[in-house]
Amino acid sequence: MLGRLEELCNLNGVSGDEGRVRRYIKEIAKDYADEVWTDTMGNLYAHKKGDGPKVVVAAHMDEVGMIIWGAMENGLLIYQTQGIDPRVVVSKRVVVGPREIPGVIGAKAIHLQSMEDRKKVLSHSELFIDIGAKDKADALKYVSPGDYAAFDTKWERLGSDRMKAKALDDRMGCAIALELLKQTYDCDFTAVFTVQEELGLRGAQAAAYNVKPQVALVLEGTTANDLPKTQGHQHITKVGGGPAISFMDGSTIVPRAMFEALKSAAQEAEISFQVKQGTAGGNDAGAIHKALSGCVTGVISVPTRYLHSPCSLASISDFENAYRLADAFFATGKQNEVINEVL
Amino acid sequence: MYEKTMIQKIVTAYGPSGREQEVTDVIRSFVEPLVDEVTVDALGNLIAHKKGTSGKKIMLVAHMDQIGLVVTDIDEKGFLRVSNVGGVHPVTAAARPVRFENGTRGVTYFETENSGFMNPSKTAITQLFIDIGADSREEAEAKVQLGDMAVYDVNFLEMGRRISCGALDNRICCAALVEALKDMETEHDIYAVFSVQEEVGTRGAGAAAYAIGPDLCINLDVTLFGDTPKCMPMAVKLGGGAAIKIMDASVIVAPMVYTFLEDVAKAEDIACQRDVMRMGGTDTSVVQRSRDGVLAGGISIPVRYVHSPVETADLRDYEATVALLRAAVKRSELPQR
Amino acid sequence: MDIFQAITELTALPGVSGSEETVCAAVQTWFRRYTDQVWSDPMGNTYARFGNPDGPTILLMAHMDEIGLMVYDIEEGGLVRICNVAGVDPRVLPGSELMIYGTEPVKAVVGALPPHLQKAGDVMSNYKIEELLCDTGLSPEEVKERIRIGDPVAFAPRPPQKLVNNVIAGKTFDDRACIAALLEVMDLLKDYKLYANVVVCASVQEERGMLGSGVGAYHIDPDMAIAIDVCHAPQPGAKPVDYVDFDKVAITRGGNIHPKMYEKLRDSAKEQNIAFETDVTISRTGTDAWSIQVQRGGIPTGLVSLPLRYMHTSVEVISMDTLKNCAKVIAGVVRAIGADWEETLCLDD
Repeated sequence: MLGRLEELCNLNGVSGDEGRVRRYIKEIAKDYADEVWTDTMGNLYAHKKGDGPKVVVAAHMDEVGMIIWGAMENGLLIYQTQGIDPRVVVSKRVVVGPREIPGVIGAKAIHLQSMEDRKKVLSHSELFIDIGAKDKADALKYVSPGDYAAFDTKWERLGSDRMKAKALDDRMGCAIALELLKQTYDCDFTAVFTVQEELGLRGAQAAAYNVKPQVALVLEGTTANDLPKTQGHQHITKVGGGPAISFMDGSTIVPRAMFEALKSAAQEAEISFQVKQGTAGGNDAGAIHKALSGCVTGVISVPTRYLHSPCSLASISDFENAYRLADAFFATGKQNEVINEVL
Repeated sequence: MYEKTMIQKIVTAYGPSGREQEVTDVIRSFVEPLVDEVTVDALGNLIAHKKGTSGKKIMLVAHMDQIGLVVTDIDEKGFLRVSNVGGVHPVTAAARPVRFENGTRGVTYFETENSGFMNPSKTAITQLFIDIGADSREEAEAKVQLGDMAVYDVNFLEMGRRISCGALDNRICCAALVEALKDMETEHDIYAVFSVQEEVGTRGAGAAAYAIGPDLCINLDVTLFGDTPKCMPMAVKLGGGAAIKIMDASVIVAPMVYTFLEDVAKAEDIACQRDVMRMGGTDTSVVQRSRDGVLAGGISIPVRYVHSPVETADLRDYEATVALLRAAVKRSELPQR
Repeated sequence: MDIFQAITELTALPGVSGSEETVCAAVQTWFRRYTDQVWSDPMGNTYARFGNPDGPTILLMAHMDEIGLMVYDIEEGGLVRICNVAGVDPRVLPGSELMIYGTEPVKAVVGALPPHLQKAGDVMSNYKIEELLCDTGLSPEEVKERIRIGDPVAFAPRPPQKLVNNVIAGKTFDDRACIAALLEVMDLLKDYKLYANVVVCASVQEERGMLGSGVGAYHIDPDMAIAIDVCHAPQPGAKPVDYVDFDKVAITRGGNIHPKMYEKLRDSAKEQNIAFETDVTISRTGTDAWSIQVQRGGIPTGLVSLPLRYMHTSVEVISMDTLKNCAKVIAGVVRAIGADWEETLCLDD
């Protein structure tokens, strides 16, 4: 599962341009699912037929990144982005477009900066991607307006139990969902790999309509703010503290039955877990739980530091235990228990 | 006439967004004798169905959840840290008695260093905590878990024609909907929906609307007011009658719907006023945009000091709302585009 | 079709978001010139259907609502308080002429404190809409008779003005000019035997946050959709990333747009030698395309935009030539739909 995660994290799949990730997942999923299909938005579905309730496990394929607006006369590329702090992109490598043209985001050298310059935060509109093009016409030979650009960061293990990569949010969820497909559970099981989560839970909305699940489990990479000077009640989650179970976030309140069932699945399987403390942020559960006439939805997250940056960091054991927790939940038939309790 | 004990029971039941079980049980006990079937959906919406003969479906919806505080951390001294559930003003939330679903009582206060009452504009919900009388984390954890929610623990206050309590938003309308179901005369299918999770962004009612597919929806919720000292101007007055929704921040009601309600009020001599609420959204919005669209309107009960523990309403407006709702569903001809 | 005539008629009528009945009636009349199948849904979205009823459905959408205001309180002396319904820039209101659509239309001016009465520094901050007062010149009794809480208020209509070079100026070109473009599409297609089933929709409440179009797309459940709206053209103070050249059709690419719908529109423009520009938006386009895309199980959606100067003012400026080109690009896509339509929408994998 870890090797797969490495491959997934190294793929580029900015929101709206998830094709590479989709192709990779499709290849693997088709060996385990009865049917694999893609909808018009690009959501990928891997369906394992079964008796019992309709269950969805959802993870999003997209990552934050940039889109090319056009080129300037000097050949630098103008980009747009959403959800990225401009302070993290200066001096980073990116790859651009379907041909993955390498580029860098530079800025005025420190020698040339005034005291005022040093204090000022550069905004995205003052930053550009340099692919080495001579001028505008040259740049447009390699890149078209509307091409996407992703951070060029490689997955790596740090120390014994940590890893760094881009797109850990949410390729970890994708890897876990793929692993769950290998098992057989007492339900009609669909793993949904969604698009455009980072643009506002867009893919999940259509996906919920297409599958019409009764129970959904969303697998996410969530904020870990366990840093010095942060008070305990503002950590949200802690890296290394085990998979996080949500009771509430900015988009969803998890039904008590679901929250309790996830906790007892962890306890019964002796997996140490944490309760996600913050209530901010959102994920695909927000779109899925209230789609159609409603769906019982829970969330398991892997704590991740430095989300939405070129380098995020997570714990390998948290990741593996998130899989074990999801597996324990379904293997012990908790999907049936929560439905009976809620309805 | 109204039944004060019923109002009091519904208004004081526990039920923050997403944890509406207790208030669901209370309301269910009142509506079950009045309708043909009562169901609960996957999100927890309570749907009471009264069969009709016309083939037309009317959805009447009032949300039953209230704002609250959710426990996000318990520290080593037994203090509880919280986040808001719905629109909680940090300043209003301090120095209040609160209670949890299992009966645990506590009080709220602010960190006093660098914040608190000296500078209300700087206070944030992260500076608020609940003291439940515990000395240690262990002692606190015996009573309260992460994810448990607290609501204001306040008394039901009678002030002549007016009443005051927390959670009048929107239990006063839940009570009105129950009241209206008594002896309701109508040829239409009535789906009385007591919806969940309105306060966190109108999340519940849409699922119910999707399942029901109504021809007309009337939403009961509270509205703001323009008749207290130096308040924001607004044409709605406490005691001015049922407020017929024209617009709020989330929805614009179709003219044929609000004029229908106005015509009914006029014909039946029911006091009413027009409601243009510039802040705040309601379930009307999600129902209006469900499926192929629904003709959805609203009747509002004006409530002062909304989202505080001293929300105040006038029972004349309550009576007018009940009367208008009953008279509206009695009509054979419903509004049409 | 006389585009100027259509725009003149359509922009003369009130249709503030949520109160589109009047303009809706006119749109229906225009639609009926091309088809008998015209209807509205409960939200007020208005549709016209033509083409091959057994073919794949393409939905073409422009919104008919306009930015505007609403009466929310009336002072004892008869002065009227107004609040924003959608999209009105408070800076343009002082000294503006408005029309209050009460029991009958009532002309009103928005008062502004003369410089003589101002204190130093007053001019440094803009008015908030809620503190402005509308003066109808009527007695309090007359006001009571004609104006009620909840009445819609819009900029007082004036006929559009022809400028040089087939350029015109007026109010509510956002998005009635695009309704006119859809009429032009109907006109361009009227003599063709189409493979596609075409539904044209004039949507409501776009200015409130694309509220009508989601319902419209759900209602029609199309196989593909194209929204047409206005975008910014070069104007004082605007940066290149904010606009598209005045004489080019803007075709959007980005997360909100199905890649193949972009290609269809681009190819249609290329084949007809129409000047276009790819307008890039990473996420929310702020048009009906945004809510159409995620309806039901997802709808392949494209977006065409007409460049416009001074959006949301009473002097919006467009080129009628560019408008015609927008219509030609859309008509080209509709004509090109054939039996292979499903394959043409397959994502590249």
